[in-house]
Amino acid sequence: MMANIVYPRNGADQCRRGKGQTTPQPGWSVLQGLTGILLFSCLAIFGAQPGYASDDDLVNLKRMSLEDLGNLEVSSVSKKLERLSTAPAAIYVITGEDIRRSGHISIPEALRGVPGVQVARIDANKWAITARGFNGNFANKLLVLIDGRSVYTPLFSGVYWDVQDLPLEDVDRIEVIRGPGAALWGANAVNGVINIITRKASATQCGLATAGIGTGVHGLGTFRYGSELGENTSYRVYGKYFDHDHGKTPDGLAANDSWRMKRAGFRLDWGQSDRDELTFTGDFYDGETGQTYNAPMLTAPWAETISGTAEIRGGHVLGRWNHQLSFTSDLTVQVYGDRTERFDVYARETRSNLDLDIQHRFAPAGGTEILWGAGYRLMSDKVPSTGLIWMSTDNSRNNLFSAFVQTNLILIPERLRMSVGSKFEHNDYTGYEVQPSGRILWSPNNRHSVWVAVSRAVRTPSRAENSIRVNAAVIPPGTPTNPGLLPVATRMEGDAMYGSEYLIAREVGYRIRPGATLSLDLTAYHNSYTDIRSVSASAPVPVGAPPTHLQMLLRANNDLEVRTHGFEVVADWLPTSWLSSRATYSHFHMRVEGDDESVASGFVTSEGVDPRNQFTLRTSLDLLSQLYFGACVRYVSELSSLDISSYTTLDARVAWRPTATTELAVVGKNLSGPSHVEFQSELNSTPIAFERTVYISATQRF
Amino acid sequence: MKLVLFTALGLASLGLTGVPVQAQSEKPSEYNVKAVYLFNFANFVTWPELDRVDSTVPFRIGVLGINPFGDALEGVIEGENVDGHPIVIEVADSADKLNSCQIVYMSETGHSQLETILGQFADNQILTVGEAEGFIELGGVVGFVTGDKRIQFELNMVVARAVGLDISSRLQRVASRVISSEGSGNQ
Repeated sequence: MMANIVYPRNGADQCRRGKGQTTPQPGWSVLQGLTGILLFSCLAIFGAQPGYASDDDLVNLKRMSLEDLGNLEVSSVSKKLERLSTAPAAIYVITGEDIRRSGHISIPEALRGVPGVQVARIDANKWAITARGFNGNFANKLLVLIDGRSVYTPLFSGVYWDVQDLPLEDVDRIEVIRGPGAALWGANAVNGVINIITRKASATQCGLATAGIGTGVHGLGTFRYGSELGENTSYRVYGKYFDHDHGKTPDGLAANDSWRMKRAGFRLDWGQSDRDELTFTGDFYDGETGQTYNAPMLTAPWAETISGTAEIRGGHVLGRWNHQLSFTSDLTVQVYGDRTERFDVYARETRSNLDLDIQHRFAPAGGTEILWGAGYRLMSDKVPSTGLIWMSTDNSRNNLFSAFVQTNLILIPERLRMSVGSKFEHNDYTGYEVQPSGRILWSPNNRHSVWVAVSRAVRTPSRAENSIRVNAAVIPPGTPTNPGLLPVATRMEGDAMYGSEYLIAREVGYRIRPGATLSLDLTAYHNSYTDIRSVSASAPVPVGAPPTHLQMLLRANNDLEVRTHGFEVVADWLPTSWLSSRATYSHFHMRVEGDDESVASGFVTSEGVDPRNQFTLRTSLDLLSQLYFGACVRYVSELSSLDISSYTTLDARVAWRPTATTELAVVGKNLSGPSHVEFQSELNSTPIAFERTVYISATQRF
Repeated sequence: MKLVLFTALGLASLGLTGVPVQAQSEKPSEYNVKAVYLFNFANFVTWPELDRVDSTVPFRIGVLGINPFGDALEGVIEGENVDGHPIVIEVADSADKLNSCQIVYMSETGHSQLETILGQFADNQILTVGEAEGFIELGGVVGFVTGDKRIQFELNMVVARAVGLDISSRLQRVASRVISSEGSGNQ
């Protein structure tokens, strides 16, 4: 669902192309003007308070042409703090600048530090990412979108993080909404929505080349070029390649988790002053990842580790048309097609999705805004058997119909606003589902606001929950769980009757700006989940074929009830234009009720896979004219049921910009402390330990 | 001579820093730049109603709500005039007090109030300038856009024409985005 896309508003990339820049005359006055500023300002007192209108500054600014005023970098902008205060939801925005300053080289890394979001790296190419609990390699309660295109797979209702990538320099921002975004975004947006928005093509003109190398990264290179085709059209094309080295197990042995990916893509925007805007994006990727899988065996040693290289490729094409009907009404139509081919070590999946969405937004009267939309998605796949994992039917074709309506009302201007809406869906497994939500925001004045929300969200069954067959584990004879003489082979099975999971979420938030340089954003929530995935075991049945064994079926069920609660805090401090700090803290608590017999514990919801406390402190310093420093301390408390202890890491980055178009950076990660393990996949029991890494990158714009 | 001196110094500093990059302490502040923009708007826009009156009538720049400029606005207009009209700055809490201004700047006004206020101003020939997201969609004429530490602006030509303002094509060309009516000449 592409609802609520806010078109990125960015300053143009540093490339002096376009209107008004070609004649030499303006060029010389620019030089004079800038030289004047340099000379006069060198005499100014260092650290003069920003905002103090020195007459000389203004005189020189007045001499500049309009084009140059628009290209000027200003010392600080505090708009970010302001804009969020009218959203009745727990929204966190990672700006493109945050990403570039932190030295992250992948999207999962960029998500670290968002309050309420858990990002745990399993190995070099696998991540367990979720919001507000239920983490796992196959976490299924988070919806992720890139430019309005949903990137979760209906195979397990989760995200393949090893293929979600794009040049991070072209990301405008990442909006993270914790809590059910289901009213707008639909099923799967149960605990949160992550929306990755790229910059408009007109903001990424001219060329950009990045190259990087480091411990753990054999190489990373990105090349992007943007230009205009006539006055109304701009585009960019890019190519990206990276090669991540394999990591090490806690014992120091080489792990099989390398990650190599080639990718190319484009974005084209057509539209200008008039009422229409068209956007096209597309990409294609092809890569390999190292994977390990523990396959059960019917004889000692009862499991063997299969190691191999998975091949994955795919791509997408997307088109979106936005038409301004009047200046209080607009219509957006979006179509996209997505294809994935995965040859994993344990499974094969070929998938094609086709999605069509329409959304209309209009403001019938002052203070009211109505959004409504409809969508259709066709998902077709082939999941042939690999002997390790197979489906009850190889091929499937599913249809998803959806519609939503949302009203944003201003009850008391400037003080009280309300948002009520619902999403309606029809899917092939459970039929109709409704996901209503209501939110209220109250701002007694410009400095505080309080919001409250109640929502219902639904997670519909995945293809795996419906039809998977997996030989899960073999319990050897003569053990406490199996005192008999024969081994017991367990087999996990999906169930055609598997139903949806439901959530009723109650959230409250409070924002305060005690002063001009400090802002605090607090959120607390209580979630009640019903019909959460559990597993029911049948009595073991003898199987005669040698080697003789007993077979126990573990069928997926919806028997668990879970309650979670927690709170999240974000504190921003911008005391000067050259120093800024942000701290985030999340507290989480989960209680699972119901049948807690978990034989195949990886696939049954359990407490203790999510940390109770997470804390991040990030600082940014603009040291001298060309040096930029950033550091981040991160603490994650233990994952008790996975036997993973708490850890603290320190990441730091120093960047040097000798010219406006060149940047050199050194990034150090996990600088403090011993190597640490972050998570254990449901599939593989050998965790990877992350140690200190150093990475150097160079970026050149031309 | 001065030109040569400036150029020589300019080239010298180029040698030190490549393309001139401003040091952190030398970067202009956001509101200094916006104040200069407002002054530029005064010069690149024509107010027919103002042209009809005597040049003793001042050109008014109004600020609605909290004044974020500090003394930058006063600094910018010092010694200046718009077509012979002296410039006056007015800061007020309510929109009715600013009805006779030529430019009204709305900074900390939340979305909810914007539509109502812009509706009120629509009866007067006022160049409304704001920074809220979607300002020009709501009926404002000029919206500041800040991204990557640069300040640019967008124009709503439909509203500009509706209130009778004449916006120079120079301004339209530099704007990062323009909403204009169908069939009109492009930038």
